[in-house]
Amino acid sequence: MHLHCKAWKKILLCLPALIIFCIYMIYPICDTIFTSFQRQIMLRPGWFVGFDNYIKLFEEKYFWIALKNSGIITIGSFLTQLPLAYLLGSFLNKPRKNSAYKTISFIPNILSGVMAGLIWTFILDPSIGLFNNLLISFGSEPVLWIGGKVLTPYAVTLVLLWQFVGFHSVLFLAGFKMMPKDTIEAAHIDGANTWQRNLYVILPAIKETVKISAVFMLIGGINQYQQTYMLTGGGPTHYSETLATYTYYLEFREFNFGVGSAMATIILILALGTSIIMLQATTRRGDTA
Amino acid sequence: MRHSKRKIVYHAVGTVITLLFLIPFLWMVFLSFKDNLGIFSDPFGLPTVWDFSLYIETYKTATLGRLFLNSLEIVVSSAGISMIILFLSSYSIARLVLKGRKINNFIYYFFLAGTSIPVFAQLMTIYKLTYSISGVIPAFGIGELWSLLLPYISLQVPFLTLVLVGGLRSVPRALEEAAIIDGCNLFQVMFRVVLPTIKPVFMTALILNFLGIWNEYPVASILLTTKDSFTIPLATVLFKENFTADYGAMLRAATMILIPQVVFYLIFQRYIIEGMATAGIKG
Repeated sequence: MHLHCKAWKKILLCLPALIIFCIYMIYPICDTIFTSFQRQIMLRPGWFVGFDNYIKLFEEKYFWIALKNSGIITIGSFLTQLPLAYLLGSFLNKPRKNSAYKTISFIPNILSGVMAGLIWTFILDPSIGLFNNLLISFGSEPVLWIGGKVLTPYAVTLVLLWQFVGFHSVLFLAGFKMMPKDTIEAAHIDGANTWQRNLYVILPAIKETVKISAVFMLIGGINQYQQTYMLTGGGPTHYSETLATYTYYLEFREFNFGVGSAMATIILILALGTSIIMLQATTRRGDTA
Repeated sequence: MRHSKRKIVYHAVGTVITLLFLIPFLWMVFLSFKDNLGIFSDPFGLPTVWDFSLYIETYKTATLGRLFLNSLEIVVSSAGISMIILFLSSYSIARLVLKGRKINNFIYYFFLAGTSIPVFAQLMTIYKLTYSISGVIPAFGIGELWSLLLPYISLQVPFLTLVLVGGLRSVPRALEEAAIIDGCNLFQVMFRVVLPTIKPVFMTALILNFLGIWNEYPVASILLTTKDSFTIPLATVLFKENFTADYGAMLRAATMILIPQVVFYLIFQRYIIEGMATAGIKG
């Protein structure tokens, strides 16, 4: 059978993908890590400086601000999107002709991050935005949703909520559809009310879906760039930077490739850490199945 | 009686949800019809004139035609080439068995590992590589639209491997064996027998591929420098700079950009939604 064909044919088929993948995905990681230990500006040759770049980063106030902002966005995403995706998923799960609602809630998901940022700029902008104009017409003071030093990460969380809750609700919907119906019916017959049913029966059954959504949010939080950049470009002097926007700034505004690579390596470690956690979670599932 | 009451509540909730999702778009379109004076002085007021000529003017100023063409060119070529080479490699991974399964799995997991690589760890090197290429083949160098081709293909490798290998594994071997007995060589089996069988998966992968590349921003922002070569996400960001205080123009441009994308989505929504959900769960 040709399926047990010669090795060279098999490798040949993989070759184009393999080559491009190695050049543009594997090699950059190595290069980035390598450069993070060098002092390199722009494309001029650099020299080895050990952990200097990392130390510089940790001493830099803006690094911690970026870290804090990314943290707020990630945790904020958990707190807002998980419950709302659950609710929206339940809503979409009702046996009615509801594809219109599903379609509509998914629309923000197909936008690029920068487009979502642009749209929300006109809602969040302190002077012409929808929010502040509503506040003013009700007699209160305008709020610095973006452009201030504090509120931006929360505003970004809101934008992400709008953009991605549809996606997560579809994941939850799939999770709901895979639940064993008999357990729920048994609970119903046993007299559990909606609250108890949800808490004790449904939630445990969709644990996997929650994990998957959580991982997406974690990765999204670590990599958060487009929306923040579009809304504030990093905020007044870097006060609203995220890990990714600060990396971008270091590498392509200051052209400080050394320190920028250090920042990028930190993001890389966080991302890989997340993947490892996810792998752990999945294998544990395999053990109990 | 209870049923109709439930139905009302259901649709009431649905309407609220719809409004919450659509208000940002509606606000944007609403504002886009006003000139700047109207936006700044009285945001809530109705536009003085529902002026479509402003739209045409913005279309020209923002060279939207050129932008669309650029995005379209790069998306079609990247998606096309990546689908072909990834189909080849995924077929190899899913189907062609060597004495040990080890190499199959190694390449599979090797590609999949790419899903956890944040693009920011690659940006600097992509810039360096493209800069080097500028010296050799200027058409693919910094500032040129085609410099995006190879990076975009590489970005799709992990995702397409996941989807295509998954789809290919579900093709019954009997189908291929029958084709071989009938005298097909490898390529004929791949392209004339197996490929039509996995058409839905293939379509879904292709559409999500399109969407991903169309919306890509970070790589484009570092590689493209001249206005002629911009893709749409890049131009979106630069609207803020180019139009500075002309918010009306920004909004009009944004609306015009959104329309084809939303239309695309409405046509292919089944593929997009199902595809994203499945990819999410598998990934």
